[in-house]
Amino acid sequence: MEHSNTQTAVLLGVLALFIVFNVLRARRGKELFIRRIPGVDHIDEAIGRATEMGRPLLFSSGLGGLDIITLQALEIMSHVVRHAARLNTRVLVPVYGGDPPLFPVVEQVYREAYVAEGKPEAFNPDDVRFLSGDQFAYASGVMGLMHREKVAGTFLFGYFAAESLLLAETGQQVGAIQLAGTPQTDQIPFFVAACDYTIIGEEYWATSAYISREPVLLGSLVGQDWSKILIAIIILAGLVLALFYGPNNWFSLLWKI
Amino acid sequence: MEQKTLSQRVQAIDRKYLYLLLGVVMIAPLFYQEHFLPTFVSQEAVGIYEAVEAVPPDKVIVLAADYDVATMGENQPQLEAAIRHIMKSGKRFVILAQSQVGPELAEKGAETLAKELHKSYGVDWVNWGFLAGGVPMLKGLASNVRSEVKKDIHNKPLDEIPMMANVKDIHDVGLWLDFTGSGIWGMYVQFIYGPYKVPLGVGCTAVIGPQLFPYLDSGQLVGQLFGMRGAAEYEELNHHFGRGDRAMPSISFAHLLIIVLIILGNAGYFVARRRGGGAR
Amino acid sequence: MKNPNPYPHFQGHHLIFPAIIKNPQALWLMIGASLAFCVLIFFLLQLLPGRSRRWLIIGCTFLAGCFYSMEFFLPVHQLEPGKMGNFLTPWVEPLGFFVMSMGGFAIGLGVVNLAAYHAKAIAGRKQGWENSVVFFLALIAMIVIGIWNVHVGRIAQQIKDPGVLKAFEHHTKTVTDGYELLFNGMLQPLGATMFSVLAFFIVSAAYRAFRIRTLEAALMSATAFLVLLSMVPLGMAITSSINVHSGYAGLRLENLGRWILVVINMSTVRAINFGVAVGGLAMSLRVWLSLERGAYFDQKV
Repeated sequence: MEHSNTQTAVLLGVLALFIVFNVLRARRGKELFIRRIPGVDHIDEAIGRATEMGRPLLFSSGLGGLDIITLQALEIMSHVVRHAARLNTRVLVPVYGGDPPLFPVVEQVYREAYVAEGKPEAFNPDDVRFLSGDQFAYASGVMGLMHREKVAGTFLFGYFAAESLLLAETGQQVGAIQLAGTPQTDQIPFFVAACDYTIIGEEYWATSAYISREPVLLGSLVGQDWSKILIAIIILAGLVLALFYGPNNWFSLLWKI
Repeated sequence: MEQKTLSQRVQAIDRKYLYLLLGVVMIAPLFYQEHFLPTFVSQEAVGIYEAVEAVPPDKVIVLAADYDVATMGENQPQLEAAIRHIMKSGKRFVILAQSQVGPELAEKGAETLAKELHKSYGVDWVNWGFLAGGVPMLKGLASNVRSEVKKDIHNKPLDEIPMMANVKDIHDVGLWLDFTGSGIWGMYVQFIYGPYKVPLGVGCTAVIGPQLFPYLDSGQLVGQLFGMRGAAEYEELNHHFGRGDRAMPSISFAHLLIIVLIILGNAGYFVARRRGGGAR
Repeated sequence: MKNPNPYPHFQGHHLIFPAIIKNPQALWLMIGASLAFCVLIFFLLQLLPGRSRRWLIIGCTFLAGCFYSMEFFLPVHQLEPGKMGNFLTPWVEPLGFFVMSMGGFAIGLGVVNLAAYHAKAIAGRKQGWENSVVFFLALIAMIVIGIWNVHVGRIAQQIKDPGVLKAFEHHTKTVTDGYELLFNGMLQPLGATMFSVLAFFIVSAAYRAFRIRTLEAALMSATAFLVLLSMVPLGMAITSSINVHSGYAGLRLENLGRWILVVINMSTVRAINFGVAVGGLAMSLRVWLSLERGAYFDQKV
C-alpha cells in the first residue's frame, strides 16, 4: 500500500490516539501495571554471573541498521552496559556494518552509559568493535569473539536472520548464559531452542518499559494493548459477519486493500 | 571420578559425534543416484506450475534471482526447475536480481539448460543483471523497463536484443517469480502485485517458508516452493530427476536422525529421572 | 554527440525535479540551500541554551517524520498515467537519496575502527596478533585488486580496437583472476560454509533442548516430529497407503503437517505479527514525537 485509504487513516489515527492518550495519562501520574516478563528479569542475573566469573559479556544488536528495532536494542544495551559498568564488568559489542551510521551511534550509547555511571575513564573503545557488513562474516566474527574472550553471558537483541542459531549455539558451546529477543517470528524458534531466556514478539518492545518503569513507556504499552483489543474486535466482527453473510459482506470489503 | 551411567551418557553425547553422524547420514545417500523415495507434490508448488502454464505467449516471466551463494543450495535447484518448465513450455523469461551474485548464478543455470533444451539467449531469455535501488528501481522498472535497464548482463543494449522488442513495462510481464532466502519478496508483494496485480510466486528457503503462508492464504501469492522440497516437487511436476530429488533422501535421513536423537535424549532423561538422579 | 540530458540517472524519474532536468542551476540552488540550512542548524545547536536546543531537536525530528506521514496520508490524485500521488510524492525519492548520501559519510568509520584495533594488537603483540596481520593483508589485497579490477573494466570498455582489447585483457588477466579468486573463490564459499554450519547446529540444539519435562514440551515435541516427517518423502511414505481422495486423506502426514503450519502456526504468527506491528507503531510514534525515554533519548543536550 503506497498511500493510505480512508479506513487505514482512521484506524491508524485511532491506534495513535490510544497510544498518545495513555502516554499523557501516565505522565499525569496514573499508576499503570505491567506483567512480569521472565526473560528480562534475568538480565541482572546474567550480569552478576559474569561478574562472579570474571569474564566479559557480549551484546549483539543483530543485522539491523539505524531503525526502530535496533534503537530498541540499543536501549536495552544501555541498561546492560550501565549495570555492568557498576560492577566493573566488560561488555563486548560487535557492530554489524550494513548501515554505516549505526557504528558511531552504538559507540556513543556505550560511552554515555559509562558516563552516566560516573566511570568515563573505564570506557574502552576497543570493546565496541566494527566487524563486517557481510552477514556471515559478522556471524563468524562474533562466534570467534565468544570463543576467544570466553564470554559468560550473551545478549542477542535486534534484527537477526539465519545467523541467529550460529550465535546462540556458539554461546551454548562456551557455556554462556544467553538472553535473546527479536521481533522476527522466524528466528524465535532458534532462540528458544538455544538460549536460556527468550523474549518473544511484542515483549521485545515492552522490554524498555519493563526495565525503566518510565511512565511514558508504560503508558505507551497500555495504549498498545488497547490497540490490540480494537484489532481483535475488528477481526471477530469480520469473522461473525462472514459466517452469517459470507466473505464478501460490507464489513470485510471495507478492510480490503 | 564418578562413572556416568548409560542414561547420563545418552543425554550428553559429545556434539562431535552428532556432527559426524549427520555428515555421514547426509553424504551417504548422495552416492545412490536412483529415485527411490516418492515425491508428494504440494498445492503450493502446483500453484506456481499452473501460473507458469497460464502465462500468455506474448508476455514474459520475470525470475528474480535474489539469492547468493549462501542459499544457493536451496534456491538454485528451484530456479533451475522453473527455468526447465518455462523453456519446455516455449515461454520467454527475464532474469534480474537485487543481489550481486544472483544474476551470474541464474545465468549459469539457464545456459546449462539452454544447451540441453536447444534455447538461445536473446530469443528465449534475457538477463538484466543486478539492479540496485530497491523500491524506486522497482517503480521505475514497472513504468518503463528501459529507465532502469539499459544493457543486459553481457553489456549489450536492450534494444539490440530480439526478445526485448515487445517488453516495455510491467504490463508485458505475465508472472513474477522470486527466488530468495531473505525478506525481499515483501517488496514485490507491495510494489508488483499490489498496484499491478501481476501474479507473484516465491521460491524460498525452508526457514522463511512459514512467513509466506498468510500471503498464500490471501491470494497475494499464487504459489510457493518451500526449500529443497519445493525444488523436488517442481522437478516431479517436470518429470525430471534433478538436484532437488537427489537431495531428498539426504534431507529425509537427516530429519529422521534428529527425531532419533531427540527420542534418545529423552529416553536417557526419563530413565535417569526414574532412578532419581542424572544429568539435565 | 553531447548527451542532452546531463542527468541520465533521472531519465525515468521524470516526476522528480522536472524543473531541474530543464534547468541544472536549480539543482545547485537546492544543494546550496540545504547546506545553508544545515550550517544554520549546526550553529543554532552550539549557540542556544540547553532547553531551547532540545526544542530545536524536537522540532527538526517532528518535521522530518511529518514528511513521510503526510505523504502517506494526504489524498492522492493522478500525477501522470499509471502514477498516483500527492504534491509530496515527487520528493520521496530525492529525500531517500539524501538520507543514503548522509549515511555514506560514515562508511569509513568502521574500517578505521577495525584498522585501529588490529594495529594496536600488532603493536602490542597481543595474543593472536598474527591474525591481525592477516586482516591487513586481506584488507589491502581486496581493496587494491577490487579497485584495479573496476578500473581495468572501465578502460576495457573504452577500447574499440579488438586487437588492442585482446592484448589489454591478456595483460590484465592476473588482476581479474585475482579478483575472481578472492571474491568468488574465497568470500562466497566462506559465506556458504557458515550457512551450512547451521545444519549441524540445528541437530545439536534440537538434541539438547527438546527435553520433555512438561505437558507443553510434550505437545511441542509431538508437533515437531509430525512437521519434521511431513516435510520429507521418507515421512510422507509412512502414510502413503491412505487414499488421497478418501475421507481420511487429512491423516496423511503431508496434509497433517500442512494443517499444522497453515492453520495453527499461521494464525499464531499472524497474532504475534499484529503485536509486533502495533509495538513498532508505538515506538515509531514515541521517537517521532520525542516521547521516547531511554538512555539515548533523554540525554542532556
